[in-house]
Amino acid sequence: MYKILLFIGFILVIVPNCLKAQSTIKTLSNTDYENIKTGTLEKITELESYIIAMTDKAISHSIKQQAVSNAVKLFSSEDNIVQVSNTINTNIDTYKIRNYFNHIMVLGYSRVEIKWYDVDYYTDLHKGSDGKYYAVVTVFQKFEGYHGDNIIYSDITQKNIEIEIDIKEDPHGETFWKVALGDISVVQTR
Amino acid sequence: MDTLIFTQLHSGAEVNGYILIRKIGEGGMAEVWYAENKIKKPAAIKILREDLSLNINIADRFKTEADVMVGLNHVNIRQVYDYSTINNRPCIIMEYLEGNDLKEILDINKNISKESLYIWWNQIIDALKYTHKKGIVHRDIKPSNIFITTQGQLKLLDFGIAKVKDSISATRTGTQMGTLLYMSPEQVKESKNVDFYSDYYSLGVTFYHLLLRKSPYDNSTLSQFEIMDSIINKPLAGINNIKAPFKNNIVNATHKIPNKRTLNKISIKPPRPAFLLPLIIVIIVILGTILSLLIVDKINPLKNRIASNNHSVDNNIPYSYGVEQNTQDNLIDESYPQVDEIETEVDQPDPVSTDHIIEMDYNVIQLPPYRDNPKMYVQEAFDAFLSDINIDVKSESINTILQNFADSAKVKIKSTGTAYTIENANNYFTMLMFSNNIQKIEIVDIKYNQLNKVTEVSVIQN
Repeated sequence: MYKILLFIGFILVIVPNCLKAQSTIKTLSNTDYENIKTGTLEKITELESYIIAMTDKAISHSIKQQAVSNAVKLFSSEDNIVQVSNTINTNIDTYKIRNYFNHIMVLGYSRVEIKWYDVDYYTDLHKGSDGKYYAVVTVFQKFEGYHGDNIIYSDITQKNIEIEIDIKEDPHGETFWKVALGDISVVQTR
Repeated sequence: MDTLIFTQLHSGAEVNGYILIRKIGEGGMAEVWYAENKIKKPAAIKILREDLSLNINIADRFKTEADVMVGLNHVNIRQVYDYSTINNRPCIIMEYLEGNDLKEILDINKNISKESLYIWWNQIIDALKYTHKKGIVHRDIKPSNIFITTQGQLKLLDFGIAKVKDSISATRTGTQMGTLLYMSPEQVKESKNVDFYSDYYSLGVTFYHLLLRKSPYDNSTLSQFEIMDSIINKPLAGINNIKAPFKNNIVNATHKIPNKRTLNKISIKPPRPAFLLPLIIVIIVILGTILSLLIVDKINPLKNRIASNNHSVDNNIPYSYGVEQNTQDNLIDESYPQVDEIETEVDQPDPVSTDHIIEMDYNVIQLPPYRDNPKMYVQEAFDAFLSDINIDVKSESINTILQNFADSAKVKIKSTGTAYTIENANNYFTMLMFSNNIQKIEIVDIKYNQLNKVTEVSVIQN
């Protein structure tokens, strides 16, 4: 009898909470949808600003570490990877994100300029079975390595960045969203 | 009707135990006497002019403002001891100062060190924050009201006197010009309704004058109307000629919209001993040589790995930062071609990072804790982080600013609409430190705990 009561109690607690959890997955208004899309692209731009800082020889190492720390937090996991390519050979190398950031901090050029442009959605937001939204953003990265005033290496690489967006409604009826970046892969380098 | 009788002031006359010794100055409103009491304590006694003493409104206001000033007790504000009358003329008994005001310093074109400017800027901010918290606005910040004692101490003069001067100006013409140059736009438009933001503006213009050795408006060629028009409608010309950190501070202080103005103190780099720079250079050279030798030793295995196209990444290595990491065998992936992979006649760059020898600027953004107005404090912090301040300064400033935030403080960020995202306050400030695409952050709500620590800030950005 005790076990039956416990089971019923369990059901009474769990089921409403599951339903409540389901109901928190927000159906987006068009305005919120567009705002979240824009906000997500701003996260990509934020990552770019950290990468620029990491490769800037004029910025002290301790500040670069702050950039790395914040950049890592943009990703859903430390296990996310970044692919890197070049025009010298056809190799595509793969780094875990923190290793990648540490790597670009110590590139052997006297100056590095990295610029991302044409940041846009490669695939539009779509809802996954877990209720989260997913998309792929594409960016074009211009990389220039200098020795003194001379560019000794440059390339332009198209990269795809996976993104995962958790969108919920808070107790006040406002839409709360959280974006996390996923793997970054190389599409092409020229 | 009572008839007031004035007699000529003379040495030896006494007021509140102070004996007038000699007249040391005279202006449009009052004359100032040097005086001493019985124990030889010096004082300056400002005595309203005879003709103005006849005007009951002016005399009353003179007394009212003296009452206000007696209540101010700050090391950077000239102390007012008492109010009295002598020969039926109202007078203010105040601290006697030896030195020069900034107008005199400008007039004689005396050199001013950068360190002095930093100190003066900070001391005036201290004084203004003190009075603004008491709800008192100076309304007439200008070089002649800022005094530097012979000991180098800054003293702000004539708090509250501006209102008395307004009363006097209302009865005269052409007396406003000297002050006009430093007036805020809202003061030019409606002098009665100004608040402490007006002092920010006047301080910004005063320091513009100090730094560039000229007023932003040439009153020898421009009409009063043209100057007023410029103050209201035009940005300060030549502001780009002012160097950091003052440039941003003055830009922030002189925003045309009053509540957009901010005042940030400048932290002063302690003077370095003369031998320090050569010593640092010697140490850097030695360290550079050692590091170069170490890295040369490590570079050969790297080359071998690259040649064999071995690009494996060991995922189990502990994370570490810095130059040393490049020398670890498990971090040899060189996906960007390294310099020695590229055929070029250019000399090899020194692979040693010089990041560690970059000189830090210690001008930390110091915002005083606005215990009674966290919103203003946080807005100033955001504005400072969006301004063109050295990234080192911003980095050094984060901990200072976060002292006013609760440990778990959050920033709720919206663009438009209702959708929002949340960041930890520390992360948010760090993000601002690196961001170059956020133009504006407006606080829409702020929550704080019983200790007045900020717990949540809601902002709209861009």
